[in-house]
Amino acid sequence: MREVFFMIFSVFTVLAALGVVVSRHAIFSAFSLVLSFFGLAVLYLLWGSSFVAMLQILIYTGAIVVLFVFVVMLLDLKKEETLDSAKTGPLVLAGVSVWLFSLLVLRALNRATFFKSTNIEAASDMKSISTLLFSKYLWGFEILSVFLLALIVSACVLARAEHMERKADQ
Amino acid sequence: MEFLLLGMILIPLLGSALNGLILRSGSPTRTGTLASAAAGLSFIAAVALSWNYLTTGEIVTASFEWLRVGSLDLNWGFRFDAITVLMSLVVTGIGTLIHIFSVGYMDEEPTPYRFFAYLNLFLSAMLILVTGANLPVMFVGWEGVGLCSYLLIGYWYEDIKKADAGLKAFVINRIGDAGFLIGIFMLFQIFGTVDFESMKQIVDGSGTLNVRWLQFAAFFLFVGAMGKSAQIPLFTWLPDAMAGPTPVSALIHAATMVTAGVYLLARMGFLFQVSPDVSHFVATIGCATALFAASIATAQRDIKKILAYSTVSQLGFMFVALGVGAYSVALFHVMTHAFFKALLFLAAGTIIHGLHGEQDVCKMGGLRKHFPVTFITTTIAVAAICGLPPLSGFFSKDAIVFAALTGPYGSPYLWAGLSLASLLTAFYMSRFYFLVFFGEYRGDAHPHEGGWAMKFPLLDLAIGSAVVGFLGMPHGLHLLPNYLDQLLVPTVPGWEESHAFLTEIQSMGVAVAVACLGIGIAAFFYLPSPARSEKAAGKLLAIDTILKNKYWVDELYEVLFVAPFRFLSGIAARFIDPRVIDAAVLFPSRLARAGGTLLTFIQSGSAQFYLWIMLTGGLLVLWQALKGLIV
Amino acid sequence: MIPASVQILHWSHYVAACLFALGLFGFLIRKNAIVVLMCIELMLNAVNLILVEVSMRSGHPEGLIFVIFIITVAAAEAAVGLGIILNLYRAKGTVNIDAFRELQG
Repeated sequence: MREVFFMIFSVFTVLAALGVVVSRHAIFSAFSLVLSFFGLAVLYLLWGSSFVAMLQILIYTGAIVVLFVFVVMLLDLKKEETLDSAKTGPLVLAGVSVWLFSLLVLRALNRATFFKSTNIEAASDMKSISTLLFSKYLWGFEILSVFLLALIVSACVLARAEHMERKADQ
Repeated sequence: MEFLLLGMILIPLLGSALNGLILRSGSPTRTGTLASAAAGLSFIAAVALSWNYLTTGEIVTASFEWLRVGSLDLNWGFRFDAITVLMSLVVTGIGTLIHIFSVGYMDEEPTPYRFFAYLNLFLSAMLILVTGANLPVMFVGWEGVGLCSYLLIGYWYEDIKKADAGLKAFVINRIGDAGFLIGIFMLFQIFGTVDFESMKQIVDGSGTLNVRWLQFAAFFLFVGAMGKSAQIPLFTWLPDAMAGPTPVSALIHAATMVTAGVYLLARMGFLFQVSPDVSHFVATIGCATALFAASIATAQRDIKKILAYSTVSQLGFMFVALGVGAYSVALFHVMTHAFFKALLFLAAGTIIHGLHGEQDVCKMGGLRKHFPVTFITTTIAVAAICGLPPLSGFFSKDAIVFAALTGPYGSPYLWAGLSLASLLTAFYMSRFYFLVFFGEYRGDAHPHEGGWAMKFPLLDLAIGSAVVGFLGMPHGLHLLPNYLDQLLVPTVPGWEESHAFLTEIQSMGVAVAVACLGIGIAAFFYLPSPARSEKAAGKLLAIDTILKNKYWVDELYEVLFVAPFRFLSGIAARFIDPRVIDAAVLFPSRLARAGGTLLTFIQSGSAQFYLWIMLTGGLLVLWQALKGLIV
Repeated sequence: MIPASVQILHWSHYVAACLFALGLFGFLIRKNAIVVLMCIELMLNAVNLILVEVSMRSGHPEGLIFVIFIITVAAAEAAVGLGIILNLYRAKGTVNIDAFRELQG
């Protein structure tokens, strides 16, 4: 049963990703992105890491894609700006090289012995994550928060730059 | 004593530096007096050193370390021995007189400090030349006098012809110098040293030297002498050198620099003694030069050119003496020639100065009334050079002519050639004498004699020309001992007279007869007026033209050497330098720049493009890393 | 089409590879700056997928922690990137990345 769900949702995710890439309008790309994130979250759930799945939904779909949608709406993109006329040459070339790259990546993955173990259900993730996060990786955790602060400030500065420009115009 | 030796050399150098670099005054009297004082001090030092040598026989030396490389052990060596006595007294004595003369001669010169600085520098270099204890030091002096000669000939450099004359002198000298250097190198190879004393001892001592190599070395040294002392074929610079001020001609091109070649061969006499073929060659060239130059001198109109060719001819005489092995006789003639030739040049200078620049003898005449002192002194000089007894020229010239017959490498042909040259000498000198001083004045300037600064040296030199001969009286006359021979015996090889068809006294008689014949012919043609000579010149038009144009030697050289060289230089400058060398040098830079321009497309400014590149790179890296594992 | 050497992999690796490939492809082809950013997010998620799968399979929770970090940073980076895009739009009036070639040459 689980296997079926795995199959369905992985196909779903891939199709949604495809939608991101081929959509004409940016807003459709954003919606496809939501779908692919959702599919991924389900996959995480199926594996048993509910915490990560929750994070995925909260942060990715709940914040990031919302941001994307905000910006797309804000910019009020006209048709010319969404239509991308990619020529066939680069298209094929990109496709071939990306496919080759993927093969190589897979090959590399194959050589890593780490992936060879087969037991699926380990401990519940919540407990193990929190134990590690606040002991072994505490430093990373704290620094990450500072890092986030920095990013917040930079985002504010970027927004302010617009504001300043506007003020200068008037 | 070493201080005196070094002082003698360095005081003129100091005077030159003071005049030329520091004081730079515009007054000829002041600069000239300083320069003459420096020369005079040098002369006093030379006298002191000579007195020391004559009384004690001590050879004063000074030596400083120069180079020590491998087997070469070179020093700045100076020595004051017998030959140096003669040469230094002549150089400093006559040099001082000419300095004094120049004070009067250069009175209208705006920047006289240049002139006197060069003159002093020349004196210093010449002294280095004659006091050098080894060939390289001598060569330093050699080059130094060549430099000063160039500077002084082209002194009035604003006139391009005069500057070219200086350049010509330097270039022809250089050709000789190349030979000289090759000779020095060969000698170093043979002897392992280039010190005069050491080489002399080696040659005198062992008998197992490779004579062939010695002859080659001697030949190359003679090439150097050919350039410096204006022998065939490197003599063409000397007549052109008359473009310089007349005191320069007197000092450098009559008395001192041109005798450097003679000095070299005398110093290396021990080498030429054992090189019979080269000595024969030297004598032949000397004789040919003597005849050649004398013939040209008979047809010249410029007063200085006559004297210039006369100098070349007399130098030829000296080389004949060296070539036949009579080294002391050659040096004797150097001494006497210095006196009367310098006197002749200074007299010519006085006349030119008095006529405000006129140099054509056909525009002179009857000047004995206007230049009395000059006239008297010139008479003595002309008589000396013609070889009239009892003046100095008679003794030295006759000694050479006799040695040409009886010397170790002598021959009757040389004797005949020199006698003919003496005839021509007497002829053209008398021609000069009669044309300038007798008859009616044919020019249009207002002649006047110079001041005491110009008269005093003339008188001194005249006394010298008359008297100096008695220092080297030949043995045959049994009148006075040959002081000069006695002086030079230890340093210069002596020679045995071989028997010939004339004794010494008979040879003297022939010489006097030849001189009188020459004077007589000149008197016949030129004494009343030059009209008779002009008629004769008209009849002998072909010969006259050839002689007037100096056998077109300069033109020949121009075609043979100068023009092709100029052509090659042109090719090098216009084609090889910009197209070949510059192209090769600039090629790497141009290549780098082109390559750079080619590669700028990588910076497209587009993030996608950059990722492209990264993707490609990543592909390659991964592919290499996982090679052979992808089926 | 799939070579023998990669057949022993788990199916989720293929999914991740597909996601990554699609993201890379979109990055190279699309001209709209916002869509390009979305493709970056896609690539990051592919990596997340593998990390979670391996971590759950092997029992080591470090992978999950790494995933947490990735998610966080990706979020922040998307925010700043969008801010930049907004400024670019104000400067040029378009979000077509071909218009932003100031650094060319």
